[in-house]
Amino acid sequence: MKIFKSSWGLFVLAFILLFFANAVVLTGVYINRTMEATSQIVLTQRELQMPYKNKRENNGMSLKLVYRILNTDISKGSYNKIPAWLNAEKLKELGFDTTNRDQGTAHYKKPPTKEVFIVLEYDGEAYKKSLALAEENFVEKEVLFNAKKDDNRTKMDYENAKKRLNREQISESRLFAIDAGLEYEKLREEYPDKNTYIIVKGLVRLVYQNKIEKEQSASIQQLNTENIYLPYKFKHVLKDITTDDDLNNRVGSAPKYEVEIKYGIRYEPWISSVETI
Amino acid sequence: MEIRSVITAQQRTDQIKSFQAELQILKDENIISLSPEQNKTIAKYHQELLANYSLKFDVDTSKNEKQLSLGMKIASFLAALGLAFSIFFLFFQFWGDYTQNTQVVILILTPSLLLGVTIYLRKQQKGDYYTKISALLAFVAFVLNLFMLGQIFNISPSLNVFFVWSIFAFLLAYALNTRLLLGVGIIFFSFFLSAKVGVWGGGYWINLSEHPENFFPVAAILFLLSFIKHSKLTSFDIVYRYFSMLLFFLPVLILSNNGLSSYAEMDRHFIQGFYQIVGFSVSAFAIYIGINKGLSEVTNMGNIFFVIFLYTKFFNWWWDLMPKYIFFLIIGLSAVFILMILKRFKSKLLKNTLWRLS
Repeated sequence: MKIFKSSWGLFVLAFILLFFANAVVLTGVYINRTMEATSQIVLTQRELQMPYKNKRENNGMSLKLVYRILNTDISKGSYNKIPAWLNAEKLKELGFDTTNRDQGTAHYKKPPTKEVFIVLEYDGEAYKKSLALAEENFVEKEVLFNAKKDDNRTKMDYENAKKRLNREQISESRLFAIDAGLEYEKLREEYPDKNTYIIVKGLVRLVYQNKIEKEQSASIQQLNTENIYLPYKFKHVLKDITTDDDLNNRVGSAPKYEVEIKYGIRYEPWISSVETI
Repeated sequence: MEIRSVITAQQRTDQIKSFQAELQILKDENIISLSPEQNKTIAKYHQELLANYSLKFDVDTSKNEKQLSLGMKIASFLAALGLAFSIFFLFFQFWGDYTQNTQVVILILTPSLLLGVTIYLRKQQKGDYYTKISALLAFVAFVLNLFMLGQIFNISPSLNVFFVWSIFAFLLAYALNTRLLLGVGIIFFSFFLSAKVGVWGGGYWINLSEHPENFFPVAAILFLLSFIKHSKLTSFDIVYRYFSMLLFFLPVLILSNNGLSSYAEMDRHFIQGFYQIVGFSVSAFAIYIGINKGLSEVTNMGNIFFVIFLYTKFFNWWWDLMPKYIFFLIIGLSAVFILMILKRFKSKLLKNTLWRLS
């Protein structure tokens, strides 16, 4: 074709590509935001945190979506991202091949990853259980401490349990990953409240088990969008809240702002309002 | 003979220069004598040709000019790199101070304007280096354009963006005969295709590097592309061949040491052994075919990877077993052995050439 032989033809194609790519991206954004929202929720600083520190070379800001996993064993913490509900049955439902993974060298290989829908529950049953676990743990450590007040170990355990409970009540995220599936509609039927359950896209990775731990499990590798860009029009609302405040928040101070986020038809989020508390 | 590209113009210029030098030697040693008129005709013809090439293709007509050109190429590369980084950080520095609409306008206008400047400079035909710098900046601005749109609208990361960037780089590279942009285009295209192969293999594209075999199809495609006629474009075929061999040998090297990263559900030692044989035989074949067909880049890559495969094997076998002085002695002796083989190869080649001449 003649157009490929001349430089001018190639430049014209470059211009067309530039505008076409932008048109596709912006049309996608428009479609995502103009149709009915797939999730709409108000979160606080506990769930949408500011960056750890100000980036000197970047004055744009994104808020990080912080979600947890309910772990009945409190010592394992809630950020390990290997939920108990991602069991063999659920993994089969998600389309993972869960057979014979504990044999041969298979468990040394990189396990497969799959993009699925993940249900995040806000301030629901999972959080209540997590809070109850922290309270139980505190009571248990308090009893031990009262019995052995001179023992340094029990004293430290008691103080840690107290801090953990305090964080759980005031500053830890109340957003929990509670389920996953391949179809949005099916999940939405099961979790109809759009203000409590966010359904987002994310990656689940199989965890190959060794011969001792026979039970098949998987981890949530990442959500497709974990950092949500804060538009300029809301920047002034957070101008007095420094990243130091956010750091303090993580060790037990109350949240200072709340943010409404919406997820569109392409399951991509945006911030629709920001207010200080 | 019509000259259409810089590379053929430079080749012809070098040929004329060699001819003039050889003619002078022949004259000095009284092997040939030309009449003053013949001398004048040849000199005038060559002068006209050289002036024409210099004007039209900016070729180097002397050794000094060639050295200067190399310096200019390095300087323009550094300028392009520096300015590209500068644009990148400039965006980030002031990014949060604009409304979303302004951000979108800036993001689309910047690559468009830089592309316009590139076309303008290309039209002027004077500042070849400036045109290439401007093209690279247009490319960086386009990368930023789509990347930042993704960030401000929280768009899910997509594999297709690598394809779009690679096509943009290819278009500019072919329009301006720029190897740097061709290399950039190849890198982005490799990302795209190898990730796509990973998706076809049942994985998720972000984890493209977990299976080195994902890179084999792109290596094969680039190798085939190198045989498309690139007569108007300086060494594009060589760039394709370099990248194709790199994208073949590097995964083979990884797989020959880590069989677990293979798709094959076999014993990892078997996979490693298989890829070691592949690595040795293909690199040796590359040396042979490169010498036979006069493709120096194929020979070079074959040489480099043959030695890497060999030394990796030595390391695996003997590093823990031997005292270090013996290990390095073996390395040194093996290098001498390779040198001897290559020397024999060279003398055989020379004999063949002399035989053909006789």
